[in-house]
Amino acid sequence: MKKILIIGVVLLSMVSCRKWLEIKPEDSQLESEAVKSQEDLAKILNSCYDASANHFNGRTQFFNELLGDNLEKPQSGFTTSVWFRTTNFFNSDVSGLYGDLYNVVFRLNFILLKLEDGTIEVNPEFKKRVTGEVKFLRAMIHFEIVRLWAQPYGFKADNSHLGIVIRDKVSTSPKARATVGEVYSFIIGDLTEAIDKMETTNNNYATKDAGKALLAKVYFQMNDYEKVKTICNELIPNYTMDTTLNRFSNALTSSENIFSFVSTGVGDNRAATYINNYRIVNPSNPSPIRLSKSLYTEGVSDTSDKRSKYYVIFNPGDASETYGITKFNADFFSNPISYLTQLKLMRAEALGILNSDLVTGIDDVNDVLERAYGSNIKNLPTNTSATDLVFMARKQSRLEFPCEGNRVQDLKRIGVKDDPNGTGTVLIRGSKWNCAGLALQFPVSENTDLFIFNTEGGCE
Amino acid sequence: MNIRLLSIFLLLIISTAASAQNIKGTVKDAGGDAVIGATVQVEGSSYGAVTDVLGFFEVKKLRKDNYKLKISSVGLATTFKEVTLGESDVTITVIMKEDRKQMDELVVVGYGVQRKREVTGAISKIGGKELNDLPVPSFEAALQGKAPGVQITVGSGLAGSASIVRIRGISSISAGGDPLYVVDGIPITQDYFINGNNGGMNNNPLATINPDDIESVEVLKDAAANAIYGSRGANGVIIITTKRGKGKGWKLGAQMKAGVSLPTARPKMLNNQEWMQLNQEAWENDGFAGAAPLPGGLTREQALANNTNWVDETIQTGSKYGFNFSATKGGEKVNTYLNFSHDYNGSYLVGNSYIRTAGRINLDYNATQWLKIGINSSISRGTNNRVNAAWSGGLGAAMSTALPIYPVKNADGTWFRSGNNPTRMMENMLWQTTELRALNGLNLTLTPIKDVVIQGQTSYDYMDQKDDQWRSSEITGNANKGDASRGMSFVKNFNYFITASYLKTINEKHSIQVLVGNEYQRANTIKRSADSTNVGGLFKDNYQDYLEARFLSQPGVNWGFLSYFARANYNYKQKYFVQGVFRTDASSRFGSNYRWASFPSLSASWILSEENFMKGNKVFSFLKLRAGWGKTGNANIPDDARYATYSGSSNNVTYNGQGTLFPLKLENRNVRWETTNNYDAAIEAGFFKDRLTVEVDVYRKVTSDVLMFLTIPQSIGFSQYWDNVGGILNQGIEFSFKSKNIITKNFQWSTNFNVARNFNEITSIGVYSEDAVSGGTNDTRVVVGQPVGTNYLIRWSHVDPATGKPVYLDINGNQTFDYDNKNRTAVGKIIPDAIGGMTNTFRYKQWDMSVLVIFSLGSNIYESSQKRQSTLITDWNMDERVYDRWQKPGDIAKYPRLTRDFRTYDLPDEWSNTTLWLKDGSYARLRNLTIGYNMASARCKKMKISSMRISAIATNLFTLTNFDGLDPEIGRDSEGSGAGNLNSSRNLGSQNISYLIPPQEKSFSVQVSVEF
Repeated sequence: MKKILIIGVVLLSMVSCRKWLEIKPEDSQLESEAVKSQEDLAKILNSCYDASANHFNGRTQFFNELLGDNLEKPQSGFTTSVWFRTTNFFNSDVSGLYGDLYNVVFRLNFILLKLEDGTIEVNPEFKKRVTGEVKFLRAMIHFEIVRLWAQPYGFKADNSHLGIVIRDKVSTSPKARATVGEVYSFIIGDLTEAIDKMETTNNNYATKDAGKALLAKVYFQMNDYEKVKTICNELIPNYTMDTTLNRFSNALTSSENIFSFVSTGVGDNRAATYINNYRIVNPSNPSPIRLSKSLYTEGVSDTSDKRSKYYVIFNPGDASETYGITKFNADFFSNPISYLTQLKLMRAEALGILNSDLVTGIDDVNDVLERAYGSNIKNLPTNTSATDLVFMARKQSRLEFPCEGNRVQDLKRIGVKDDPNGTGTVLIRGSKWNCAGLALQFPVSENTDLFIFNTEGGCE
Repeated sequence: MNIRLLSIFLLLIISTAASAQNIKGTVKDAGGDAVIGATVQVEGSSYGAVTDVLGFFEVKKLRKDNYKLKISSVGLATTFKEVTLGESDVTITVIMKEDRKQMDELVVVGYGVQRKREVTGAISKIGGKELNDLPVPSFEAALQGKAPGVQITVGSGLAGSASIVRIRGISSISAGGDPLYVVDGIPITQDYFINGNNGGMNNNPLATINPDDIESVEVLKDAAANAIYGSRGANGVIIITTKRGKGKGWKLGAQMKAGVSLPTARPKMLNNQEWMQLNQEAWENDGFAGAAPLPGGLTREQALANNTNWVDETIQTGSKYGFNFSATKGGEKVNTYLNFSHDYNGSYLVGNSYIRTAGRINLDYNATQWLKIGINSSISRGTNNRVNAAWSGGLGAAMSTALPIYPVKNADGTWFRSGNNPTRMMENMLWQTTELRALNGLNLTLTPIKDVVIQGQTSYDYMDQKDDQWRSSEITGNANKGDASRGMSFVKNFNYFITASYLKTINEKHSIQVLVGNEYQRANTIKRSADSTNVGGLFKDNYQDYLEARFLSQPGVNWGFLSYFARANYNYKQKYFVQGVFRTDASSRFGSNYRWASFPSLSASWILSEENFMKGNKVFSFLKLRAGWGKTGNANIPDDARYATYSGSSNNVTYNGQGTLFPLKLENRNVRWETTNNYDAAIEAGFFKDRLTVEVDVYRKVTSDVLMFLTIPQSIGFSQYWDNVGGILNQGIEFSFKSKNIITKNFQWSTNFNVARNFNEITSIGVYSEDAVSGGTNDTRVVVGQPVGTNYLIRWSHVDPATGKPVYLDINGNQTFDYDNKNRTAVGKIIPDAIGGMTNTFRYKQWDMSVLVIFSLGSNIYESSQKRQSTLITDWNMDERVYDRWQKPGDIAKYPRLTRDFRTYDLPDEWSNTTLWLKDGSYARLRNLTIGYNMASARCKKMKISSMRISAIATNLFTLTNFDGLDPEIGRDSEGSGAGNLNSSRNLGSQNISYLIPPQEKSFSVQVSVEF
């Protein structure tokens, strides 16, 4: 009897307490607690802007510039391989950018999922606007990824060449690459819906005009100049030229501003990569990233061009002669993404190529030249030929947007149009516009049965 | 006068001679046979004899007195005989009984003790004395070569360095592979990643445990032994038992030691002229003319004027000293053990040392007949004076980016800053990690009624770690006294268990013991950080500044386990033994779909030597067969792997002035423990009265649900994900023997030898590819059909004599100049085929000598840093091996033409891997040589002490290996983000992947121990 009693006492003392094992992680929340209301979805959307601002703080632009002819080879690191066009799937800088961009896409898709699945109360205007903004950002990111990691639109006439993975919903399964044609259809679909659903003004966030400006850029990249002309004709009248030569000093307040990423101070700086790369601290010490001789020479060829004063030369005459730019010297600044000057030069080139309404095109270019020279001394005459107009629009593009990531994609677009078989009439820093290495290699994490990697090299 | 003295003298001699008697006799064993070679000693004197082939002995020239004889012989119980010697000789017969001590020796098993003969599982026991005599960075390093199947790789020569401990191979990929450490019943905090990786080294949570306190270490290797530890026993369990009071009365002990420490090898880097010459050669090879550019903004004249030997700047002869005082008292009511020790362990790296001060009280109090109270309480303070090493600086910088052309200081006396200057770093920073560790346990044993024992224990393991750093204005660039920062971690590990056991013997034949128990453990880690500018030194020396610093709280870590277990033992006549075990665990770490983990085990053993047909067998003095099966688990996974988490509600991230919320990781409701199915069988035999004991053990472990921290396609939005997908097989054989080769009165020689052969293979990685988990410096992968930690590389063929360019092999084995990652293949492995050790102990009168040789065969070492030290010229210094390089067409050389452009070798970047750096990692090492002198007991008596020993110890004296790097014993500390990467890094790539790791330490020391 006693034995049973003792054993009983012992067993009773062996308590089981379920809640002793429900231990929550600290400093983070479970999904079920974190995402409950419309407010929470708004915050997630804001985090998408926040993350995008960081990835576009000069960083995506830098990878584009490295492939082109505006920069000198970096001193060391994995970005050297990008400049050499020899990236492979172990390049952690490249895979870091790839993963970061798709992480934003994951968040955007998650918002769409929550708007649709009925678990959260949302009012219709919120749903409409947020869907528009989500699709705008999703299109913007897919556009960036497809231009960096795949051969350009038009590489094959039917665009059946491999593009990137389209992530249009939340999923944890591996997926195959879609064709470039499919990717562009997806982007245009997203942008069309976004333009319809976004607001006209939105407190520094994306608006209808932002969507239209991006759509114009997409069509421009596709060599579809009719559509470029239509959209630009619609948008340009809403904005006026700004006389400020360095748009990085007044992105948000400028009369040209269509869409920018916002920095509020040194502690909230959305231009960090621009500044870290190009800032010149000591006039005798070169910046970490230097400009190519090609860009410098073109930039200072005409000293009456006020934009030439932004260029700097180090150690002239020495074997270590190199070049820099002073546009990015401030401690912080907001980052202009879409603005009037871009639309004007796109329209001018489009009109030149279509050989229609050359007057407007010439005016567009002259607006840019007047700002650059301070007067109309270098303006194009009213009888400028279409070919000359196209040439001048392209030249001004290079001089207006150094380091902003445009150049290599522009040259590829021109290559598709003017040298479709890649015979070598359009070269990017000595390599054919369609060589394999000009498309970055995907990260090794994509190595599954479904995925086909890019061909490497071929750009020597 | 003289004649008188002479005659008195002569009389004395004659009388002494005349009164000299002998004690003689025969020594026999229980079976009536003569015992040959037994030692007969007269206590308290140096008189004695050894029995001959008939068992006969004679002790001569004794005076009339009462004597006590001590008769001892191997395998037989030491016998004492009192003899009164009168006028004439005395003849005696001594019967010696069988010595069951070895088989009656107590072995600590989970939640209890068993006699060695009763044990049905694979357990290796190592006595505390073997651990105490070695100067090691931390106690687990002293286990090296002592237990079959237990592989210990000491991290490096850094003071306080942790070891990688693997028992019977590696059975995890991304979950922790370390065994469970239980100290006096407390599963202690053993997290190597509390502070991440700093300066190339992780914190070692075992370094504060004082080896002087250890009575014994039991290593539980198979499921029969481990199943009782359930979901945490799969990697083995190491049970540490600390000393307790015993015997009668007070015994005091004191020990003092001092020594020096040196590196086992010194890196041979180039000097300024040599480096510049190679730089120039590479420049010209690349087709350029003129002088090659120099890094660091130096002109040629300046570079030729500076010749800094950075290795000399960062290496010194380290010093060690320590002392230890202990007091034990045994008694009827109270047993006490007290210990205090202080150890200073300086390594050969300048500025690096580990200081441990520790105190312990162990008390046993027999309160009443049915209640016994036990207390274990220890407090230990470990101070690690840290330096940068490996990739982080210090000696690592001397082997890499600290070039000989850089001066330590500029001509004007300021520090040289245009290149890596490790001396400047060292002299302008302070870094100290202090850990205060308290291990406390309270144990109650009740025997309320006959045959029932109830035991309850609660314990508390508290760790308070402060990592203090300070940088001077020279480094920070701010014009002030310097910047100080502190990282704080507090780990509170609370555990209780309660067991009830019932033991019954029926008819003196059947014996049954049943144990049931319940255990709960919970650990909370709180982290904070503090930082401040304008502080003159470390926060610990500037308390006022510390109070005014900016404090940030960091996310903590919490986990819990709740378990129920039972064990039943049955034996028949102490001949046939059967054991069954069952344990079930629930943990906060497991996904909601997998709450309870269950682990059963069944094992049995048969002592053949007890059978009648074996009695009187001349060869086998002991023969036991045992076999067992069981399941064990591994729950060393991150605490929140199962949840999808979002940023905290108070996160400070804003955009455009508005708040944000974002997902951090994907959820996995199915994340759970790994399960290992264990099979084990063994033979234990003793020959010639246990003069030779042999143990052979075979095992097979099949692990399923292996956790992998996978790199998933990044287009999903996240790159990493936990999944239980893999399978691993470990099987092997362990062989060990202990022999007493020579036993004579004055000279004895015994040998302990163990060797273990393990075969390891990954049987499955689910649907993922080899690149899903990577290790080392991107050179190891998980490959099905190959062992864990397989080197997966492009094969290097040779250097083309015509051009000096490297020739690789493609996937089909054809030679090519092209470097393509598609050509990677499994070419080597980091884990050895066989490991073991041999200890030879010699004793000659008062002197003893012990020699321990350890060996590891069949593994490869990937010397990752050599790719920058022997081929490509960059901003790294080269080592002397580079001289075997191609210089002109027609040369046959090991290394290709020097170049400053990695594209010459067709590489995509300067970090690409090939088999040129993969080497044979087998080695044998003279790990320990100890020579000691034991003071004779007569001398001791005169000095009023009970014993004294002086010893000289040398460690890592000599190494035999084909490895051409510094030291083949490599246990690099892990780095990488996220616990998964750190653990998989420790399993796949910490061992035998060398990247600037400091070589092991060679030491010489002297020790004096006295007992009162």
